[in-house]
Amino acid sequence: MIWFRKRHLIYFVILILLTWISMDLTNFDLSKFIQLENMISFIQRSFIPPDWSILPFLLRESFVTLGMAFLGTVFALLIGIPLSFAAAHNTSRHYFSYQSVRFFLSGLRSVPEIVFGLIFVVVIGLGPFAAVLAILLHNIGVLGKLISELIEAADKGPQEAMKSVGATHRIGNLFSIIPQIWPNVLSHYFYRFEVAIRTSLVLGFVGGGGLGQQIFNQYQSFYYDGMAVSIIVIMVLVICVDMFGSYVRKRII
Amino acid sequence: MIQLEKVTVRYPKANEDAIKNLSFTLNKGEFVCVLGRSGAGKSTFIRTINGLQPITAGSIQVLEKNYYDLRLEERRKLRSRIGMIFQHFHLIPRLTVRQNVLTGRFGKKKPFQNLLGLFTAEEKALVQHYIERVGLLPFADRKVEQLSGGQKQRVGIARSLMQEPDIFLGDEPVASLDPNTSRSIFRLLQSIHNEKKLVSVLNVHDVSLAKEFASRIIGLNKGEVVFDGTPSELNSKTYEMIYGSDEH
Repeated sequence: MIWFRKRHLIYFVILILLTWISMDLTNFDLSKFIQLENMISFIQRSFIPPDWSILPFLLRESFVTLGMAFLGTVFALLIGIPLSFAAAHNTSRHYFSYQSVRFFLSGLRSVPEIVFGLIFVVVIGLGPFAAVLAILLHNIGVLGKLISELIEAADKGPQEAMKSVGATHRIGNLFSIIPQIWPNVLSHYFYRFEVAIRTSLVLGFVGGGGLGQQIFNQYQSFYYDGMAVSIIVIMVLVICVDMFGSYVRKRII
Repeated sequence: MIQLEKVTVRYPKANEDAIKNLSFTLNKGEFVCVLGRSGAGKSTFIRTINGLQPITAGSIQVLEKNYYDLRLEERRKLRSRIGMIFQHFHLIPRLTVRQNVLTGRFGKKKPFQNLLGLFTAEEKALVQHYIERVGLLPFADRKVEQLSGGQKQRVGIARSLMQEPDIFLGDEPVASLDPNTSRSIFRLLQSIHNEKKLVSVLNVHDVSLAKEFASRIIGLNKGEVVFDGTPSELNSKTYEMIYGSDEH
């Protein structure tokens, strides 16, 4: 075999084995797809036609959702950028601070937003602010790590040039690295912003406000035709953010 | 201006020294070209002068200061008086020619001034002057990635000039350029050198360039100086000492 080696066969067997174990653990049952017809009829019966009368109210709520996602991620970016310089091995000045910051970022990343959300809702009360804090903390961990990897992969040449002109360590790093990685930083940012919009919906379920809370209320009160409009608004929101992100990135590049 | 005393450099985990016991003095006004095969230690030698490459043994006096006796801040100040151009230009992408040239001033200003772009009218005029000097005035506000290799190297030269250096170093500055562009870059370097009365030290692979422009040639072979003289003293025997019998 030209393209494959014996070890590929072993990998394939391991993959099959893992898939089979996972299917067993999750009660994966293909026969249940027969009930798909029920789902279609449920959607046709309850979701269609959507109740467009609540659209103005949902648009107002969508701004709250956008605000939560934006604030949470933009603050995460502002805090994450300096931390990422400390978490990159080529720009960190001390091994101890490098390891500490990486550990701190891993810690933030390992706690899902929903867990932070549940804590903040109890500590500071119901509402969008708790959701902002939850999104902020998790995204500091995510963006900090992603940007530190971009910093580590940046071309060393400009850094050397800045050193040779006598620039200070921080100024040299800032000017030689940020322009190089900026399009990718923006790309990561917009992706995380898009994720944060979806996360803010889940946080709404636990009292974080915005569209998520409306969906949850609509679901609990069997107001499915209203829920249909909420889902459409969310889809449009995410697609618009994605298109805007692509546009900004293209302009920057 | 530059005095090397038994300078040796050995890279970590290497079995041999990259440069061995280099001892000589480079004086003001000298235009020095360093020749040698790849791996002969040319880049290592150039980089020891501004401290980009730490030395293993010996001592270096640069502008009457021993680099390794200085504190971090003083080293930085000393470096700001040594201009350096690189084979791959090492410009900051996405910044314009003007912005790149301004970064040459970073070693002479406070960090917050650099961060906020607080440059004096004099400095702004100086940027304009040096961009014009290297023939790039029509491209001053163009991003550097839109320039050709030769133009990029001119930006590198203008950036070094913004340092108002006493020493000019070049680590294979024309190795990525075609022969005509290389010659024009060397002509520019020589005229700046004469105008500013610098000491210039440049690595080159092209012997004809070294013979045409240098006032002094240093030949390195396996990290040791095997030739130190004027271009007219280069002959087939000295070529062989520098490059070995199977080359040139």
